Amino acid sequence: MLIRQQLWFLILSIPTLCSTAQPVFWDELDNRYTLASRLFTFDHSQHRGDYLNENAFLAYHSYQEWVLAWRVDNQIYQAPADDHLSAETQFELSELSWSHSFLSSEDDLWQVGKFNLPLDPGYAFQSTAFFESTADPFDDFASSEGINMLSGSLWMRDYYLTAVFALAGQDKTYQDKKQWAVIAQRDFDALSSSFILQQYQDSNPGAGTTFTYVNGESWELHGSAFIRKGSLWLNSFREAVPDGADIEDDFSSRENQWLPEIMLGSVWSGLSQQFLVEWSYQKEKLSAAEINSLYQLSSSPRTETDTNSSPFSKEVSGLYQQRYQQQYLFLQYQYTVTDHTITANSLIGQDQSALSQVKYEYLPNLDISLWLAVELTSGSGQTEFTQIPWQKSLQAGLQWKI
Amino acid sequence: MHYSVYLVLALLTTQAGAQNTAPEYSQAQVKNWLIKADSYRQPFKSGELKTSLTVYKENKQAESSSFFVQLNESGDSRVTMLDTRSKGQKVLLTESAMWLYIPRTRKAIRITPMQRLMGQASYGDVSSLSWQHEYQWDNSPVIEKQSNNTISICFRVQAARKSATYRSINLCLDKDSLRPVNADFYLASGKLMKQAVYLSSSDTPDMIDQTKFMQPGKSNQHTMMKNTDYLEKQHKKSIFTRQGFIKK
Repeated sequence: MLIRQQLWFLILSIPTLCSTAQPVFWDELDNRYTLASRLFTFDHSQHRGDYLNENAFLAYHSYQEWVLAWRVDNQIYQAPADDHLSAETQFELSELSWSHSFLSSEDDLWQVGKFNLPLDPGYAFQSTAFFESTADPFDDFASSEGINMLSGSLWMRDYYLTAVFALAGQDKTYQDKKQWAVIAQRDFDALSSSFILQQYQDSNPGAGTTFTYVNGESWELHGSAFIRKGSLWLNSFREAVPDGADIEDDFSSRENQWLPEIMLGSVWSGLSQQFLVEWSYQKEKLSAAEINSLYQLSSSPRTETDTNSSPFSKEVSGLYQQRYQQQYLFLQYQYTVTDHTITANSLIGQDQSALSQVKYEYLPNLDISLWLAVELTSGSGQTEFTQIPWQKSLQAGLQWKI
Repeated sequence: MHYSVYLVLALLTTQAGAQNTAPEYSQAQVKNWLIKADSYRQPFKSGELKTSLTVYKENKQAESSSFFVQLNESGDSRVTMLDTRSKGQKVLLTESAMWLYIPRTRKAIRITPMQRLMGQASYGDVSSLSWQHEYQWDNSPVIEKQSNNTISICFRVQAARKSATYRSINLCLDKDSLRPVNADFYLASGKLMKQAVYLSSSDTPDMIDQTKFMQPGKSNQHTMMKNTDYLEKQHKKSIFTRQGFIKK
């Protein structure tokens, strides 16, 4: 089984790599490949064991107006109960799209297929990321899978106008909901802004805005905000919470309220260092009092194996495993000296639990990078990040850009 | 031959020239100097070229990276990275902002002037081949420097655009031809960030196609920027917008 999985991985990777050897045939084709391998060790045994080897092959091709991106992920591990290695391989079609301009001035742009339409300037949190994959500042190889949609854009004087219709949402709650949006973007000198009207199927429409601003040599400010009446996330959560929970009233009172979501961030950059801070607030998520009430109902709601004994249904466990607090803070510090980079990341919840990472990366040449990273969770009692099955993990990785 | 002559000339002008304060000049006059000086580095208003940056350590080639640069008549530019580590990355420099597109995230982020100086390549040096749009004379004295029978005029320009990479530049131009000789680049703090000497290949003596960058405190290291494959061309307006610059 293991050998078969590995063979599939090689079969998919090698012919693609060979294509780079024939530049004459592929002049019009832009091919980019990344091969990454990393080894994790966890301090707590989990269902896949203490060690995990992840291999990823990411491919990007573009030919004239076509874009194709795909990846193959392979994981090798030894589960505690097994006496042999197991392997899993997944194929993901990340993007397949066609774009075209019909006007001779090329002041229009149409795109159809599976793709990402980035709008939100957030690095860790995003209030208006309806048509793009979720940001994950802890993982350089996180999935960037697009969604099936059709978009049409027009440059009109100082404005860039876009209308988009998508067959799905990006986030778990909305992944089976169709959605549409109209977006206007405009730059006012050093301020770049966007305005968006968006609606999910079976949900109220909402409105939002994004901005980025650069001040002087080193400061960048960015933010996004979105407001909608009611929340499908909260409705799903509410339906799954057992009767008698004293947070029922809190949820009901928010059903007809306008629920804002705000993200504010700033980047300060020097010649060799960079500091990023981002704060996010989502009124639809759980306040500290609501989280305490839920903690009282269940001693370990995030452990899947305990679902039967927990007062939560399977559905709410799924929702609970998303970022469910109203406020988060993300901090990142990066120090670079020629070919060496040290990055420290910390994601802190309002319950004062945190997920932190320190990563050292070495770039010996233009194609290869090597890194070591330590991830730690911290917090007291039943707080969000202490529910992660491991408290510490070590990662060693190698990336080869081809 | 020309390369060596200009290098010697430039170094002498920088370090050993006799200094005189020239007569007063007007803003319009200095602006015209900048326009003429730009014509040596960017021989067209709108077009494209290839740029390579090679880092030399102890006079040995350490690493090299290449870029495809597109420029328009408004002074906007789009740079596409051609090397594997950054292949597909694009930079857009407009009047008010600089944007960096990272293919992995499919996203363009706004970067500060300081960020464009970080890392292996200074995007600001690659993306900007003209001073006339980004800088203006700050009315400080214009100084004449003489070395080897050549007179240079040296003056300071300050950033006129928010997106300008450096806050100020001390420029020296050949007095007769207004050909750039050398430049010192400063941050807002007044710190000397970089020095450049402008050079020509023997086959293009009337054009500056090579720039030698040196950083204070790194005497054993320098970077050579070489421009080739110049092509005058009109570009679609949309590729110089933050939404359109990520297009192929």
